[in-house]
Amino acid sequence: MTTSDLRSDPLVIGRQVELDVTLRHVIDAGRVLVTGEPGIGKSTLLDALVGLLRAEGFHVVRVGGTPALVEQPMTAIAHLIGDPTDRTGADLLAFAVERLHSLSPGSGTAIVVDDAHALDPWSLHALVQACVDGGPRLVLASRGSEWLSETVATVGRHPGMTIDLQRLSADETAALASAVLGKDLDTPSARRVHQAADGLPLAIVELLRHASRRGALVDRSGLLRWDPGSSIDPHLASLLGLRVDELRSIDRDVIDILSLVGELPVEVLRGFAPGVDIVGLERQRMITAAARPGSITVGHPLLRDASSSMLAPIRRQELLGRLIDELAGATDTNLIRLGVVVAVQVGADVDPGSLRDAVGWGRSHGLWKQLIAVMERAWTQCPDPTTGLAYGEALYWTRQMEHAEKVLAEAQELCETTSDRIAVATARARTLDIGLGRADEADRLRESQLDGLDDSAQRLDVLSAQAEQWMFGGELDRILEVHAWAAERSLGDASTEFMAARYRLTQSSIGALGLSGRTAEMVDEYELHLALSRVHGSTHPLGREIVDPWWVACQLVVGNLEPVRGVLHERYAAALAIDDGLSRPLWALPRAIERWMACDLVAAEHFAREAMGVPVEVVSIRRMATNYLARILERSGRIEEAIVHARETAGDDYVGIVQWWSVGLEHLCLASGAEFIAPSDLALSEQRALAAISSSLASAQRVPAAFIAHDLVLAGRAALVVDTLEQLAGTVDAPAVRWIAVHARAVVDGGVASCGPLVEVCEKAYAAGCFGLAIVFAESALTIAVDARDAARADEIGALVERCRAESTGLPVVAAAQDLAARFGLSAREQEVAHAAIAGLTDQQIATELFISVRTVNAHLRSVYRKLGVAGRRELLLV
Amino acid sequence: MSTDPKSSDPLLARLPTAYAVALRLRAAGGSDEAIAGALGIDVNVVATLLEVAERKREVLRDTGATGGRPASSV
Repeated sequence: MTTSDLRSDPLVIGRQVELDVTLRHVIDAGRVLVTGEPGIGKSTLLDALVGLLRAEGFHVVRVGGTPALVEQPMTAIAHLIGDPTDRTGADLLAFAVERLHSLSPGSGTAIVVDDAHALDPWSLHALVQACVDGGPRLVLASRGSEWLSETVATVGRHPGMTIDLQRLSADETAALASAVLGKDLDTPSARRVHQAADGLPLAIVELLRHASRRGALVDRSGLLRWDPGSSIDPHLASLLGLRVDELRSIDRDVIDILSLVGELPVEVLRGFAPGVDIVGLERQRMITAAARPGSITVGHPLLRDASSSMLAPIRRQELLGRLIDELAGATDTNLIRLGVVVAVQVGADVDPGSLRDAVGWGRSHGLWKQLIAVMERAWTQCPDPTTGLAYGEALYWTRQMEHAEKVLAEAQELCETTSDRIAVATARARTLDIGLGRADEADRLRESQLDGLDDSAQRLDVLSAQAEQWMFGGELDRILEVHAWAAERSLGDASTEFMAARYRLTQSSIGALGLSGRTAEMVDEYELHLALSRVHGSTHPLGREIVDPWWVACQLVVGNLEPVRGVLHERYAAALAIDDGLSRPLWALPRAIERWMACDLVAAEHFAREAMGVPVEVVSIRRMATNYLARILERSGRIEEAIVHARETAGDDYVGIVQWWSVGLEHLCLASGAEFIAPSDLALSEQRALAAISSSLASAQRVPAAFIAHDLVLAGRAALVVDTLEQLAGTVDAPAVRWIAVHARAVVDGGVASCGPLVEVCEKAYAAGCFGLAIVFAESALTIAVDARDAARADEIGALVERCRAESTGLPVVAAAQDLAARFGLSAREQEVAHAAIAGLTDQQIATELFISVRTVNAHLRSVYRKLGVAGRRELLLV
Repeated sequence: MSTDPKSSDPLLARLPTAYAVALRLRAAGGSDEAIAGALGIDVNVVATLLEVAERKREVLRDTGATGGRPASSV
């Protein structure tokens, strides 16, 4: 295909100028970010750009755009820009990064990445790092949205360029129609198509193809025209997945208005379209309904997503003006509130009472983003503490921290009642602390609230807010103190206000109890949280989503994998289907911990980096992800990277985090300001570790203390901590701690008699899915047996080590299977069977997993063995 | 300024709406921030958007067509 062909490709109709500008910038400056809503034609533009770059002599590496390449982008890059030969897993990824870094602009290489929003954060980060400051050219295509990651956004800033693709004009729609149909449409028909599809290329193409198949277009004197007897409605309805009467009931303009206003409660939508089963429609066609229970949006994804496009503000005046007239006569309360929202958006007058009512409604539904304009108006027209609080919170959740602090400070001045003062001060302290990093001021503000406060509900309210901060500072003993006080008081005070404050305490308490090894109490606290959430559920949509992954993460940390594993996998899979920028990183945290426990460091790192993508407000998850990523990097032997990561991400909280979780002996040295000490120089590290254990124990953090102690056991200093570990094992309700106490004792005692208990805990850890710990235990037992020259025992334990290793799978196994497939030409099914066999599944298990018979599994395996030239399963593992 | 972004310049009327609005706002002295606000886009994108819009208008002017496709109904 020539460059001229590429430029005249029907699918780039209306995009020639964008293509030229992009091409020139890639060649001149190296980096371009292409953004735009779904269906706008980003991938098409990239395809044309790839062709033009090749015509200019570039070696173009295009990744993304297909699920496989999105899931394994670095593997793809490794194969495309180098010869990875027999590298697999982490080696293969390291090879890809190394090759990327070795490329320069002079190499004439351009990396073109589609669907960058779907890439895992680690690959994205590695790509962007390799392509800045003299690396290869980089073109990313990504959905433009408020969740666009900072990594992606950086590519589009100077000297890079962001090109935001726009919808087509009426003329461009007509030209595209001609290209799709092979004939020109007449003007009225082209206008109808343009209006119906709203200038969105994908929708235009789909609509025309549908109409063409159904005979709605007729040839008249060499021009195609829409058959006057065929309404455009059935075609559009079919495209949207609606019935025609439903399409008419849900007026397109109303859909747009609802989308402009944002997600709305189901009852409001029902008010607009009483004859339509909106929830049923959503269930059939939408995945976003699952993201925000009780709150949905209407419309085809293409059209709904388009609501955030730049056309929206232009149509807004006309559309909202019409809607406000309709709403003026409404009798339903929620419709009247919506009318207030609309009135504020079009600048109409609204009485203060209606404004206040809408603000209260928005706050109770967590509609911060949608109602921020209403709150601003209410605050200007009738400032009072309640309005100031709502407006300040809205600013906080939309990340306008300075402004939020200013409004909340003003609202504080207006407070007359104690409850108002507490509510506003709590929100202000959170803004100061999390939003602006002014922790000292926040602490003083919180402390001042407690002075002279006798009411138990109000006191607990203040303490619950403080508990959240204590948790991140590692002051678990203070949380447990509040927890005990609250538990005692709740016997005498079960008022609504008290229980609402008690509910807010549960998130911190779950973490504090879990990390103190009081697992049974943690379970009770979680059940209390669930019970109270029905009445006092968080007002913010994020709040409802956080506790579950946090609870699962705490369970995993103490070694209770089995009870939560099903939930974890199910919820993570569901999160993958929801592109809201939040669910996926939230559930990536427990996945990272689970993989960490399974000793699968590559996958653990992948998930931990994904978890780092949570919004900054979700502090608990972000900090735990920070900590695990540091631990994972350390265990991968990348100590300096771990330190840099912990320093960059943890900031002032570094010491607290390190001591809380013990990311490693070297980190402890660094936290205290000592110079970096090599792992072999154990003496000082030892001291630091012992100090950290003692500090953790003093603050009731028994589980972290046990993990730090285990670091010392692994470093050959079991004798120092065996007593501590045994004491901990007797007082905490955490399986992992009990296992590592047995491990420490066996290492200290030595002798073949120690193997028995060690093998026993190894089996327990294995059964619980903690393969990483199981490998550690099995290897220690093997060492003891070999030292004792007990060959029979050593053989037996050797088999156990192998079995544990086979379970420690994940991405490396996937990569290994893909590598085999590439090298030996395995079919897709053979690759799946080989993957499962490498992962250690029996024939029967493979058959069950893949829904095929055992006989078929055998046939595939024989074929795999033949292609690889191996005699059986054992040799397959060695290939 | 007219509230209709496409009212005066026939070439603007044939551009995609966002580009037409951006050019009119710039002609009226609007800052990058104002244009970004009106279109609901990131302010970093405005410079490229205007460049593309100008180039598209030039292409339309160079082709010399004022009516343009598609052909009229007969």
